Formats: sequence, structure tokens, C-alpha cells
Amino acid sequence: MSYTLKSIEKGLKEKQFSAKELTEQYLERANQKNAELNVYLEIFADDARANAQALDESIAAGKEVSPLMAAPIAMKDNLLIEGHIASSASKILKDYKAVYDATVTRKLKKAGSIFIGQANMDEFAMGASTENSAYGPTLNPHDVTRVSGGSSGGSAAAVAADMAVVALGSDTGGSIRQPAHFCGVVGLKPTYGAVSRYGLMAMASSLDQIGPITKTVEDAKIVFNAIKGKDAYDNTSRTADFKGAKKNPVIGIPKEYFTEGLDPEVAKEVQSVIDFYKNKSFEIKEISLPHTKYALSAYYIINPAEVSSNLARYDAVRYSRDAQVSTDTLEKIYKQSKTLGFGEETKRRIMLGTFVLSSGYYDAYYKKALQAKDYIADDFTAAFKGVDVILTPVAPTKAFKLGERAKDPLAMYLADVLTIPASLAGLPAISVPVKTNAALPGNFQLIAPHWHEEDLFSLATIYQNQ
Amino acid sequence: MEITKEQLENLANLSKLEIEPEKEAALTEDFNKILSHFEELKELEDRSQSQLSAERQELRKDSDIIHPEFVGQEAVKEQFPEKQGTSLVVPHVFKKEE
Repeated sequence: MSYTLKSIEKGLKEKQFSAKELTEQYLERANQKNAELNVYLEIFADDARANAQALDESIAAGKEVSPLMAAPIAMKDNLLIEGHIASSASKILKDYKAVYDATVTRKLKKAGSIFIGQANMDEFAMGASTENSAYGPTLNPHDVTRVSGGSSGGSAAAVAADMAVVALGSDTGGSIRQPAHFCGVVGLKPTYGAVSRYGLMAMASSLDQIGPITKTVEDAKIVFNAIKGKDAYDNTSRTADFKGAKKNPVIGIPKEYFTEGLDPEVAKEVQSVIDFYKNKSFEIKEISLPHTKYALSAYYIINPAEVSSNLARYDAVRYSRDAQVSTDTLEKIYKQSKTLGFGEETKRRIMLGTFVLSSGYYDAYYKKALQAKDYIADDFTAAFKGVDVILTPVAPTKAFKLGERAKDPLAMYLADVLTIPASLAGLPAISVPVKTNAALPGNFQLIAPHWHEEDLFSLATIYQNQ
Repeated sequence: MEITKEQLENLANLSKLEIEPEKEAALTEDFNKILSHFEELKELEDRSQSQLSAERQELRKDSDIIHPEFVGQEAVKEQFPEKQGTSLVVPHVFKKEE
């Protein structure tokens, strides 16, 4: 069982199966594999069946079959579906039931997609392995002794294990692209502002972006086209002038991404992709993005700064008061609820963010990080004067062992080192599986200028369809 | 820059968090490891306002904000014609889309 959006559309049109039959297959598979992999925090069996039944009735009544119709979808647990619990894999929101649909949810519902369940993630999207989930890690479908990546690890594993055809994730510093790399599926981080973030629980608002995880580049494009666009509920969303794909784009290879610390197997696989494009007569140019080395530090200052502000709302007055919490004073309610409700990494980032924004340290850390962000964005602007797309590895290593980095936050942060620069610059980037016989999958990353998603789809499709 | 146990406790207090005493040492060590990594940013030259990216220059033009003078309670009340008991009803900013 391995469907794509195209094969589902064809199957429904030719009446090879009904929406109900397809949904039943995915529910069965999801239930069976979930015990092993811990992909879903909740499976919406009743809703999925009812929605599939209603869809079959509307198709029988003459409704035209379209590409996302009946598509079984996994939603990251920080995206809202009205009436369902969305906890961001945190204990502090364990009982929070969404009171409205995220804009992406509304768009997918309108397209006739079927939500299979809420997918596991690192708490509030902070992490690179899903080990920061309050509900246990999601295991890698290719090797259950390894992590599935993060923070959208549940979403990537759902697609890799055929527990959904499409998943939505959120990417702040690599949270779609890195788990896609660990699980061997396609992951797109769109241009900042391309997709409405209304109904996405905010983590670092200046960087957060929603995107699809799929088996094929073609499916990623279909989902992106369905969810993109200006939304009155998110002022950072834009109806941008999306650019068409260039013919024969020039590919840039930044030397700073191929340095010490890059796993030789990853380097070899990415080189095989460069060779593929070379053999297809694409012009390949070595380029330099000189401020890349500052990206990790800048990100881990900006991100916690925004986290400390965004997560202040979880004060147990408006959300999820724990019965164990004392109600003597407001101060005690805040402190005890946050201490009991948040995990270790979340607490660490809140404190780090409070530190870098505090008087006396703001200039030395936060202001400096914003300047580094500017330098990095300028590097990309200069590079895109000479090349159209940039090709890089997604992460320095393939999926690491469970627990290997859990006690060392800096080692965990390094998993994002090659995805963060594009995030800081707000650029679109796609993570695409390398064709390999290795035991573990691995991806390469393509980065394009703002609003040039079509260049990514076009170039990635040429590789995937070889 | 190294933070001390006292600074960590102050940070936890500002963050409305409590740190279990047995976790303080490990957390201080993590913090100092992370902060020492950030030291590399000091190598970067400061940028003046004119060198900032166009996108960032568009943000936070606080000086351009004109604060209107307070027009009085009655004028404010007129903006909320609908009432429920003694309360004023705030009109919807957005209408629910289908």
C-alpha cells in the first residue's frame, strides 16, 4: 500500500476504490503501526469514517474528483482542527481542544481531504528528534532504534510508514526538512509568508512556516498550491508574485556546507546528486555564503527570545490548569503550572530567551543575532545574483540513535546547522530523498530565492523522476 | 560570559519557573556551554541602521507613530452602539469565512 495524490485521484475517478475503503486501509495501517512507532497522538477514526462516507455520497451525487480529495492526512499536533485536542505534544495543553480550524485545515477540508490524526512532535516544535515530546519519541520507520527527526518527526514518519499520504508540519529552523531527511520523504519549507500561520501555535513567529511532507515532489507541489496565499487572519501572509520555473537554472554549491563534521556518507550521496545534475548539463558553480557559521548562534538567540514571549500565554489561567497546582496566589499558579507543564528543553529556551532579552545582555546577544541574520540574508542575495538555486546537504548526519543527543542540547542544536540559514533568510527550501542503496535514507536540500518555489519543484522533479 | 547559580535562579524567577535543586548544576553547565558558543557573534562588525536589510528597516518605525489625543469616554462609547445589559458589545473585526 503506497498511494500518491495522483494515484488516489485516478483510483477514485476509475472507481477502483471508494473514499471509505481508502480511509479504512489507512486507519487500519495507522492503528497497527502506531503501537510500534508512536506516530499519532490521536487517531480520528470516527470523524475520518464519517467524512469519507460523506465524500463518497457527494461523489456519487456528481461532485468532481480533485487531487486532494480523500487524501489521508496527518496533522502536526501544533495545528488546529476544530473539536480535536491540539497539545503541541506538551503536558500543559493536554486537555486543550481547538475551538477553530487553522486556515490550512480549512483549506484542506474544503479540498475534501480526510484527517487521520494528530502527529507527534517535539514539545512546541523545539527539538530535532521528537524526544522532547511529553508523549515519548516517534521511532524511525527505517530503523526503530533511531529517531525520526524533529520537530515534525511524527509527520515525516507517518508518510514514510504509509500511515498517511500527506502530512503537514511546521518548519522554524529545519523542522520539516530535517525529519524528511531522516525518514526519506519530501519536505517543503515555503517562503516565509507564503502560507498562513493562523491556527498554528506560535513558537518563533518571525521564522515559523507551515509546509507539506509527502512521498513525491509532485504531491508536495499539489499540497503547497492548495494551502498557500494571503489570509486576513495572518498579517505576515502575502499574495506574492510567485515566479515560474526557470529553464536550465544555474545551481550553486556553497563551500561552507561541505566542511568538517559532515558525515562522509551524507557528503557522498549529495555529491552523487551534484553529479546527476552535471550529467544532465546543468551549470554547477561553487559559491560562498561566508556568514553561514554564525547562523546557529543567531538562530538559538532569536528563537528562544521569541519562545519566551510566545509561551508566556500558557499561564494556566487561560489554558490547562493542573489539579495539583496551588491556587494561593497568581504567582504560584504561574510558576507551578509552567514548571509541571513544560518539558526540560522548553524551560531551557524560555530562560535563555529571557536572558538574551534582559537589560545588559540585549545588545550583546539579541541585537547581535539580528545583525547576523541580516548578514546571512545578504549572503544569499549576493549568491542569487550568480546562481538560481543552491544545493546542499540537509543535515550533517543521518538519523542518530535514540538517546544519543538527548542529554546534550548543543549537540542536538547542531542537527539544524544546515537548514537554519535558509530559515533566517525566509527562503523556500525543499528536502528531497537521494536515490541510494544505503540502509538509512538521506536527502539533499535545494534553496531558492523568495517566491521561487517553482524552481525547487522543477529541479527536484527532474531528479526524482530520473 | 558565564552565569552563576544566583543568576540562574533570578532567570527562573523572571521566567515564572521553578528549578529543582538537583537540576541546577546541569542546567547551569548547559547554559554556559550554549553561551560560550554564542561568543563567536562578537566577531561580527556592528551594522548601522542604514546597512540593515530593507525588510528590517520597514519594522519598528516607532517614531512615526502618531498617538491621537484621548477624545473622551463618550466618543469611545459611540464606537460600540450595541449593548448587552450594562456591557458594550465589541464588533467583530473579521467575519467568519466559509
